[in-house]
Amino acid sequence: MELWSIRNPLELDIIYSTGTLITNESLIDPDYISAYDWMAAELDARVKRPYKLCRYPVWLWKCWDAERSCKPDLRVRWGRKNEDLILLRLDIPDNLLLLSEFHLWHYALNGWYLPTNESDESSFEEALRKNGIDNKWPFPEPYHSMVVRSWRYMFAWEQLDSSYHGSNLGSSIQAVCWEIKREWILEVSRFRSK
Amino acid sequence: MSIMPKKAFQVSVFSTLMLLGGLAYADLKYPGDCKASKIIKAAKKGGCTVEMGAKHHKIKKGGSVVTLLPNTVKPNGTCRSIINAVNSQCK
Repeated sequence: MELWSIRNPLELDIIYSTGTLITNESLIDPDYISAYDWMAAELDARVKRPYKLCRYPVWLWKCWDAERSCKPDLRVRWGRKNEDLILLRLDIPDNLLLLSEFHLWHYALNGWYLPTNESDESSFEEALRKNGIDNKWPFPEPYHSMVVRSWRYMFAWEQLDSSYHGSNLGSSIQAVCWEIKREWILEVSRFRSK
Repeated sequence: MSIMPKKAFQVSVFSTLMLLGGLAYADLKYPGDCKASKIIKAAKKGGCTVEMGAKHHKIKKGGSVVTLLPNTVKPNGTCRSIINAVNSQCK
């Protein structure tokens, strides 16, 4: 499958010198570690970690924005202003990837319940209200499990009600895998972030 | 000398502030305001801060994260939830 990933030049050096790139967990924002832990567990349930060192996945684009361009548009901001970056075009075996809807991923990042439709959202909020629980992460059980279970719809976005979630659902698809191997690189483009 | 009643004074000050600076809280509408620039502007107006990132922007209030905003916002459920979070917390 053809994918893209935006990396910094140092990461490209690591790929060329070691043959692979894995995620450096010290660079993950601590505010979102629980979402990353969850995504790592979801990937591990489908694709086993190749090395123990692979604690967190590598992020990629299957399609940045189908309404504009699946290839990431380098005219938008991708890093710090004027930062030198690399766009990799990759060919990665399908069975090593887990695809998800980029906009729905924000429900996990924000610790929100991902409803299937408006009535599902109202039912969840009503249950919280009745029990005097704030609609805010972290949730007590059984709501914690309900919230975390709801995030799985980011892998099955076509099952969600598009009249609630919008007809553009599925236009931005991200992917995760455990590593980027040198032999998967098809093209390297250097650019400067806007 | 006439003394303005306290309530009337408060109303007067509030009205003046409204005229001078507009609403001091985010008042975003879904789906019309589903644009990153509009959400960021409203969040700042409501006293939130925004940390710009590569794929997302982090909107914070008093050190706590209000929401993570994708740099490309579309009229969808994610935007609706983000608007709810910004409207309720950036004020």
